[in-house]
Amino acid sequence: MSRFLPISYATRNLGRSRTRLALAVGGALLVSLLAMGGAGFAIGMDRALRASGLPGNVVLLGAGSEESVERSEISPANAGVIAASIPGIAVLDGRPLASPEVNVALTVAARDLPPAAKSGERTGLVRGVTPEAFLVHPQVRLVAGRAPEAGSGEVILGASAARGAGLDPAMLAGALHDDGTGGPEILVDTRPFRVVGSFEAPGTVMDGEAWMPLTDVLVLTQRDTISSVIVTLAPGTSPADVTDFAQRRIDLELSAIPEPAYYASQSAFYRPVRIMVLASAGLVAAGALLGGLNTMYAAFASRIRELAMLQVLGFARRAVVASLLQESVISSLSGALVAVAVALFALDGIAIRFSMGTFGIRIDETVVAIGLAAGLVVGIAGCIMPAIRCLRLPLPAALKSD
Amino acid sequence: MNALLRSVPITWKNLSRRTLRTVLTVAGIAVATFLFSFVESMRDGVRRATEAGAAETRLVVYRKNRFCPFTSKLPQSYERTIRDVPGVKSAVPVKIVVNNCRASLDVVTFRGVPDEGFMEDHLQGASLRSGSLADWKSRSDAVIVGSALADRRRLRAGDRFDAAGVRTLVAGIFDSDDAQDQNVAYAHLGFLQETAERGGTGGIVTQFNVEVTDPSKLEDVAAAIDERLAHDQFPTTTRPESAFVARAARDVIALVSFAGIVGWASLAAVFALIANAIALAVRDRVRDHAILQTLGWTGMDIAWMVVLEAGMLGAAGGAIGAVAAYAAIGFAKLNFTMEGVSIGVTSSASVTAIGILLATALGAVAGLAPAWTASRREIVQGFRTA
Amino acid sequence: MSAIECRNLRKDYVRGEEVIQTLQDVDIDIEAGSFVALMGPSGSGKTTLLNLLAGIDRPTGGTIEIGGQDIGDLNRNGLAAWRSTHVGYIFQLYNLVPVLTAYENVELPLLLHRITAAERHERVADALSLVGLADRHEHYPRQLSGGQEQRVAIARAIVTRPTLILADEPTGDLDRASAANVMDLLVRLNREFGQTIVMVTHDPSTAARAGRTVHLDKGKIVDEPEHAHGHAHDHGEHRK
Repeated sequence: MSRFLPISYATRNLGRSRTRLALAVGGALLVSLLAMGGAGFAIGMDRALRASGLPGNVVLLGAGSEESVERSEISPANAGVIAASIPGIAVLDGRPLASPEVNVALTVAARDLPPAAKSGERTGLVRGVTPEAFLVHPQVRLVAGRAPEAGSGEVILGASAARGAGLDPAMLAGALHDDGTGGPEILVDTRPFRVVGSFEAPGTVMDGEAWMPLTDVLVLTQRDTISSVIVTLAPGTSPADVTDFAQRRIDLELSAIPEPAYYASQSAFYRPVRIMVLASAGLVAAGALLGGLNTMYAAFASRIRELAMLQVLGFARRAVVASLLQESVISSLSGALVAVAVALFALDGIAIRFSMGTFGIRIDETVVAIGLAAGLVVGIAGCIMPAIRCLRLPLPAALKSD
Repeated sequence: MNALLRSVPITWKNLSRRTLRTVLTVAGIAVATFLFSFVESMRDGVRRATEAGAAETRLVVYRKNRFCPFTSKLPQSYERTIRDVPGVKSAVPVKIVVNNCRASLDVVTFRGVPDEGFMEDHLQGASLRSGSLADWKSRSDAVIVGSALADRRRLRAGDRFDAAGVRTLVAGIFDSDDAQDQNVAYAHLGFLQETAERGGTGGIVTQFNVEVTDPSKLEDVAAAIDERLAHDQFPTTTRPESAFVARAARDVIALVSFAGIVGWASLAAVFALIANAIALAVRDRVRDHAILQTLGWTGMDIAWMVVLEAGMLGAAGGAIGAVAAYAAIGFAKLNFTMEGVSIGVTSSASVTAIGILLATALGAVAGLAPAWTASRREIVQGFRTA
Repeated sequence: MSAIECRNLRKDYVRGEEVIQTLQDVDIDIEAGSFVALMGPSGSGKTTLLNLLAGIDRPTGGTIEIGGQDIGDLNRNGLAAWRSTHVGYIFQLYNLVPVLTAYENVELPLLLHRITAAERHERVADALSLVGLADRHEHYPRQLSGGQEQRVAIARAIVTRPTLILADEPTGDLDRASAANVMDLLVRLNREFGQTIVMVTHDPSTAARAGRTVHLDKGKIVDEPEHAHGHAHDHGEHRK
């Protein structure tokens, strides 16, 4: 019959050295926080891109530009042809759900920023849109003001984009009236535009964009082509129908990609960056784990005699290991729990501006699970190896050790 | 025996005969130093690409307020206008095609350059690893590829190379110290204009690379060029090449300066690891130190032994980490590319040396406090504590 | 001439509010070449006296002169240097450095002396063969028995040819046979090499093998009936 040590034996031992307890908890906290930071970054980036694509949407780009919407060019005339001739486009109130858009990177900055801050360094993503854009991108929700009107020098800002331009999104939404008045003037490409609306598209790249009427962007950038046409398919239509259409109509020079696939490829494009972030977090965590192991070996080595004594009293080695494990896991999990709290309060939602736009670090269930798992691994790894090492000694030798 | 040297064998034995602790500590330090060296190499790359040398003579003329090669469109005819600006030695129209404007590690950049003159000049400082310039000249779809890009995409002379919607034939591969060159495929300007614009808009280029006669007049010439074209249909912004790269690669630079925090954190980790290991070791050896002092070793000897041990741990971990980073960087040939400009991460002996020295010094410093404690402890008290 | 002269030796320990007088006005002279056993109950101050003689602890008052040197005049470093040439210390619990081999443990004090590597090697080898461990050079302390460990400690104590050997219950942790072995060795060092030895013990039969026994009680020397300032007694010879 095997008897186990009461859990109080483990908890009492934790209190033996406050320094050691602090080291164990702090080490686990650090490892767990790093794991969550890295995972939150990677997941946040990936999710932002994936959430931006809707299963029912297809992106039409200029042929040869499948990798990047910014370099895609479609003549506006073709946009009309597309809306008219693609089979299976959803129709709402008689309007086909086809949104011609132009995507460009321009400076977007609040007017009263200090000169150093607005000297063209605040590049934002600007999307030229028509009213259809709101229909094909239902993730976008206008929270204040109204949609911009062509030719009136108007712009609306996503929450992250407002922050990027140096404005507080909550204050902006508060200042805006329903008729679009009350908003500040901002500089887009050094030219003044009035903010008439603010929108939210949480968790998608569009949250970090400024939207302007399509024609205004074309004039502003002296372009005569649009970047893409996004179409929403009627229920029952397969994206393959659109892909086939693009392949048949060589004269239109189009490529059709289901929106999720387009964003998945964007996500894949950034994989090296994510791998680097994860690798750095992993390396620092590994370093912390090694330091922790060192401490645990020393902690257990000083208890060899005590552990031998427990065996002499009749506790099986299994029971001793179990008690040590309890001790170690209790401290490392408390570290991980603190780390989860820190991550939820301090890391969650931190906006990262990257060239794809803005995305938030996400501390969701998966990331929390990763953080707790990291803490658990620290607790187990930090305990098992040192425990085995000091329980391997024959009892008489262990009893005599000092 | 010399007072400093006589401690070395004992310290060495303490390290080499407590394998587990030493291995754990050294491994931890190695990991941290690896990260530090890696980050430093990235920063080095940024510095080299973006810091203007006093002898900088190159300007880049870009379309005003355009930040991506896709949108910077200038008429090739500006070449003559720019050449006429006083102080301009030469102006080369360049068409740039990239597969993506955004920052990442595997971006393909084509630079279309004039058929004559440019490549001859450009390859002067670089050596062709394989292929030949003659091959490049003889085929309109030929490209000469920078070594980093060639290695990444496993290209050899004679291979087909299709990317960013451009279909080319590799005529040669060249080595260059310049990160910009290493990541570029040089194509014929006319060919790239035709392919990229699908026959629509020939005569359009992305930028002009301008050489000035007098480096001290660099900014003046830049202003003069912009002035001359300010009221034209396509106004320009002209910057020294280093400033141009700094602007275009701002995301990469932001990423790298963020990584700088990781670098400093790594150093803090080195310090913490050694401080922890040494504190444990000193606590373990209270009795050993009392014995040594009974035998006639002085408190200074003990302190020196502790600092020496900490320094040796730092040096060993630092050497492993820094050399591993050197090797990894050399092997990986990382290049961040954005908006057609590249920042190379290259290994350097100086970064490696700095990594080793810092780890060693941090180790020694981390040993100071425990060394002081150990050296001040009374012998009798030492035996009693143990 | 006396090798050791202690005058009015006092040692107080402060524990909280309380001052514990471990040694009170101890006067003692020890002749060169004698073998002295310090006896007394626990807490009588015998180990404290030994530590003061070894220069690893400082007296609260009084003087200690060893070989004509007042060791109270020496600073910390001076004292350390003095210890390295004048004192060989043998502990009850051997106190060998665990990461060092028997040879390296014995070599340790010699590293502080300006001698050639060849001479160092010769002296270490001599010391180890004197204690009968010529074949254990490469053994680590954990690979040796208690008696063997103590003999390594003795070799370490004599390798510098010190003025004085101090032993703190050298047989206290040993079985009877090993203890006898260690005592034979100490007696031999005293008789054959004229080595001055001061040994703390609480075992009368161990003390009996020294030439002179000094009794301590409550920090004072109590009685010293017989002044046989001489060599150690032969094996098996007992005093009354």
